[in-house]
Amino acid sequence: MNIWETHDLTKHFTVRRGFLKQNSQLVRALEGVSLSQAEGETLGLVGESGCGKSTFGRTLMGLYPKTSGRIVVAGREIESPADQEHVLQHIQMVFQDPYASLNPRMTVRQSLLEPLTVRTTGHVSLSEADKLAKVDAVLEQVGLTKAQGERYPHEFSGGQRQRIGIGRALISEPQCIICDEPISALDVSIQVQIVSLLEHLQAERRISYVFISHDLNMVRYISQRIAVMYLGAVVEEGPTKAVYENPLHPYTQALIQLNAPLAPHMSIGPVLAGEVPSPLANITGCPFASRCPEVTSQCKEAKPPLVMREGRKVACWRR
Amino acid sequence: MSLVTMENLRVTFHTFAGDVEVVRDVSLKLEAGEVLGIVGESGCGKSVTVQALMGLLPRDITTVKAEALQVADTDCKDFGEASWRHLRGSSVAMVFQDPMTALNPILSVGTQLIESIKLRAKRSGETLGDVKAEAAALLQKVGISDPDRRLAQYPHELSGGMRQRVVIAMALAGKPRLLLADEPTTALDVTTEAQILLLLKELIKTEHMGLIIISHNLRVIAQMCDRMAVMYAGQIVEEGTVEALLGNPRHPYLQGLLQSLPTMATTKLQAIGGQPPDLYSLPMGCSFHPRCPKAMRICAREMPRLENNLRCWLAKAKITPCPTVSGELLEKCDAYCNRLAAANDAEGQSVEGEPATATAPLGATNNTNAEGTVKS
Repeated sequence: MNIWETHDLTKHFTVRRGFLKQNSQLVRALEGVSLSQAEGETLGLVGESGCGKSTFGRTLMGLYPKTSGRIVVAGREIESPADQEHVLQHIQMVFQDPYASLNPRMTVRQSLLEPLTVRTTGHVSLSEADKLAKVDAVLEQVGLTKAQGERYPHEFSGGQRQRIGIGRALISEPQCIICDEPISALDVSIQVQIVSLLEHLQAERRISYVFISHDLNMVRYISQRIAVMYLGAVVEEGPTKAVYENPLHPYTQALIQLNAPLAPHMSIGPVLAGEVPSPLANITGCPFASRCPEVTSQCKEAKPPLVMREGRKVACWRR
Repeated sequence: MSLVTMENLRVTFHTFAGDVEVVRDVSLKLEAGEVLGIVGESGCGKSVTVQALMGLLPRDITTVKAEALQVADTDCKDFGEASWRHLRGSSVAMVFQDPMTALNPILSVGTQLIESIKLRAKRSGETLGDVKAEAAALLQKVGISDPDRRLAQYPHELSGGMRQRVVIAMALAGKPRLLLADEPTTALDVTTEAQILLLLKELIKTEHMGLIIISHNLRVIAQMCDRMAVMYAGQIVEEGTVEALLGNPRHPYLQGLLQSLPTMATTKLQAIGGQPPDLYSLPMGCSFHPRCPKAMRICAREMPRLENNLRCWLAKAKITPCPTVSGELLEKCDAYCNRLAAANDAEGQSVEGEPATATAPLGATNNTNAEGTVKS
């Protein structure tokens, strides 16, 4: 069974501009995203900044109200804010910046304890002592000591803070953790430590991850399935191996070549012309048409549907 | 004469927590038309090293010492602020990481570009022609189309890649011979990064400048540079051509960094244990030894020299560390360590191994690998 599913999930933000902010415009952050996740699976979500990958994670978590579409979490349709409790029980989140996502005035133990005390379902029956024991167990799982639980976030390094962030997500015993750029603020040597910790926890507890990142090589390493997003839409989605070995969408092809593994002799490229269009624009055709090397007139007229091709879904008229 | 000659640069910050040496004995050389890359983790001193080349370190809280410091045929060792001001922008220019903070948000692109052009003219005493046309030509040179319209725009109206192009145009306005780029593409997306890197590479060729590029991204270094230097805890630990260092890394830190990057074939990533050291309390001996999988007893005792572009005891002790050690062997180890240290003082020697046990692994006596230490 899928832990969560989205069907045609759309999220528009309204921005007000102009004199007295009279003109409002729509930022189309998500345009009909349908994804799902199975138990114990890691789904990699990649794309450039502004492509909607973080918005997707946050809308799925209920941090942003959806504009339209459906979200189903653990078999239950999420419709009103009252369902939020149900979502948090199954899905938790790890944020990019471990400096900003922890309360500086709370000790690590207090931060970890909070989800257990504020939640109205699930852990209500636990006694105080059980809750504290649980905090200690989680601290150990993420590689911190009990004594470190008494310290404040500023006393830790970036990698350790990210461990605390993971612990805080873990303590609610979710089935899925959304990791929103969990390693991009860290040094390379520390990145591997965090990724190894995530892998270890997955093997132990069968957690699934939504791994949001712009580092395609790390995503390839950790994910079984990958979805490539461009301007609020999924352009290619399928098993990591199939997508990396034989990318079909021209954008996926460019991204993979740009992230080619390190070699002593490397050339720069390929260079895509132009820039990502503004999400304020209402694009009728394929969102990638303005930069695509294989563009045809059809691409500018209608948006290609996401269809099954060679073992993965791809949204391109030319495939 | 080299474009840059820097010998044994030492930079000390005077902070409330005490003095801290952030750059230790860094020597660099760069010829015109050459691209040098400096890699290292945050806090390793790579930015400070490059800022010293432009005299950008605040004088009241830093002490900069160097045995030699020459930039573009000028001896800058004893430069004061006024002399640095004369050099900055004309001989050396810098491209910073974040183009939004490098540009003034309340001045138009044209105003800022023309300011740089006028400054150059004032310094060199040349008579100014049509500055607006020159500014437009500069924008064209960095690949911005419709330059006349762009000159009237403000930084917030431009995209990140476009802003970085403007910053590069401003750097070029002074016709510098040396360009310094501190993480020039870190704030940009990969597709934009490729555009900017290509632009920089072309400019180096057409303008015949030298370029020092700082990055934590080894791919950027591999694509851009002829030579690279790897820094750790304020020191250069390995230096050489990009092919040599990436193809055949000798320092365990660089080896670890390369193993941290997943490739096609990676099935299990190898992490470098521990954390970068606290510069206020550096470990004895080699700064990397508490995290080094190949650390030996000598590594915890004495700092290795930079010899043959490598700062590592493994190069000197031509033996492999052994897995176990007993009391008697430890004595032998110490004797061997003494000989190694003596060889270190007399440069250029290496010491052949006796029994492989002589350089017992550090873990036998000193277990510092756990990521558990917290600054108090």
